[in-house]
Amino acid sequence: MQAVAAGDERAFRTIAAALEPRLERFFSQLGVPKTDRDDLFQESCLRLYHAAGSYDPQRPFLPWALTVARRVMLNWHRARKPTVPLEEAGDVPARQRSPSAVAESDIWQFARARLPAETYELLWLCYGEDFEPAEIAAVTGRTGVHVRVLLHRARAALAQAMEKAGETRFLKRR
Amino acid sequence: MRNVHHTRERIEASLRQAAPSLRAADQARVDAVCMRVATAGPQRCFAGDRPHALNKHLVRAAACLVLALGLAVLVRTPSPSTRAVEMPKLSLAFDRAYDLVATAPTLDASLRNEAADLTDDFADLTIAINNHAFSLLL
Repeated sequence: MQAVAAGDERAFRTIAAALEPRLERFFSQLGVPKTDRDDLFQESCLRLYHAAGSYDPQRPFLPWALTVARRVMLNWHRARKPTVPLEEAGDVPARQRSPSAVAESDIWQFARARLPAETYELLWLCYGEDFEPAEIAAVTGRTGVHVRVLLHRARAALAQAMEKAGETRFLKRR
Repeated sequence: MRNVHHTRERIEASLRQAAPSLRAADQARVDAVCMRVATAGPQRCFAGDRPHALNKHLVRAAACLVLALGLAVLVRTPSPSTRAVEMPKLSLAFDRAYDLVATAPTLDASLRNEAADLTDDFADLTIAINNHAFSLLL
């Protein structure tokens, strides 16, 4: 990143190539449609490029990059918030999928269909990206203790949902 | 308890193993973003950095101001001994009548105590302001 901050475009290309699959998976897991992921990737990379000078080499790079990407994604979510005139509100069909209508092929899909988005995001950062609670705290702007508590609750909620649905096929046998 | 721990471990293992693996980088996307960066021009300072730096200076200036005001209040606060309480001038007849109701030394002492309490409160307030000002500076 120091080379990027110095204006080295080859260094930036290396970082962009390393980040592309990561961000693609991150955006995909957090519900960004395929058509918008390219824009979000470009916007994230552009911000990373402009912020390269403020990067602290003592800190791990990936959580920092995902923090920037997450903010870009949140801005995108905010900007696309659908608004419908009050007169037409009655004609809007219910688009929320019921858990039973979703054919979950793995535990992540099961979790996404049943847990709130914020809870799912924490689970993904912890078990999908393999981040430590302190890194998740930095990415999501919480404290480490708060993240640990939320992760505990998320696991409990997932276990409860699986028990309620009688779902055992996702659990690995020991 | 062991069962709960066991379930937690199984859920964690399932989540880790079911996480989709990374695919190869899309070179077209990487090329596109590199081109966009090349046309974006030289790096600029983060827009948020400048106000942040300005805020820091403003906070320091405000802390200095509070500190100076606190010191001024502390210096100007009169000590209890200098704050003499003057009794209102009353007529002799009224004074005698008043003496029947309340004794003058008691009233004087209570007023002195009030003045001393007020002075102490001012001193405490000044110390608290100074402490906050130092914590802002640090």
